[in-house]
Amino acid sequence: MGCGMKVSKAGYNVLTTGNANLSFNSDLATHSIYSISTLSISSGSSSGTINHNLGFIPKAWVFHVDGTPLRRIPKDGWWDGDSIDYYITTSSVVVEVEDTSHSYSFKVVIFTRSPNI
Amino acid sequence: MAQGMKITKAGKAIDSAVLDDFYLHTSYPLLKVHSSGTFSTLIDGTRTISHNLGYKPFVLVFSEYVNDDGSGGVVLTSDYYQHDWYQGGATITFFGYTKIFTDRIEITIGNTNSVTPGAVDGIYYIFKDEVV
Repeated sequence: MGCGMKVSKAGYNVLTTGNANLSFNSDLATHSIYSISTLSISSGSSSGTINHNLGFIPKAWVFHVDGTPLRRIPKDGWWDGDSIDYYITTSSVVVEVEDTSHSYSFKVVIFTRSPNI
Repeated sequence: MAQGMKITKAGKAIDSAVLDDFYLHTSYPLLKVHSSGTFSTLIDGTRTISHNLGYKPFVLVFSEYVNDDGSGGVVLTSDYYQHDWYQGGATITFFGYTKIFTDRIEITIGNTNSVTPGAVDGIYYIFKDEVV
């Protein structure tokens, strides 16, 4: 027998309702935050790295600290030469910038789970 | 003694050191939705959605992609992209992006010619959790 846990929204039968009416279902992927780190890339550099050493490829989101607000990347700016993207390995998250003429600050969010269910 | 709850994937040990083995591990906070909704009629402009959380939260925004027809015209697609896209054509470029503030998010769609060809639909999620 499979084991797990479900929590339904108020008014829904946890035994019979669909996933859309569940607040939590342990069978489905969740976004649990492993770490949030600040990453700086100096002028003249085209990339920066945050290590996690989880041993698997986790889900990760990256936000550009764009002055006062945050802006989630990837940023598709090929038209004006300022694209920003990132990739994830089993040990790190690497952020790459196209325009190296100035410095950047990022918030790198790493989740506890891989994309695999 | 520390307290919490863990649920592992089938066949995995509850004391595993591999975080990917867990469906739930309360030592690591889950993203929690603060608000969500849809927006529309937003081309060449900015839609502001207040959250008043007092900090910059996690946000997801997806919107219909605006494409260039190759002749300076516009193709409104029904494909939802992460709301941070550029589409550059020979005579006009379209773009969309979201900025996150401590009291609001600003969802912008625009183009380099300031044309207003129609409406764009999208969805957003604002989470309780802070990007610290």
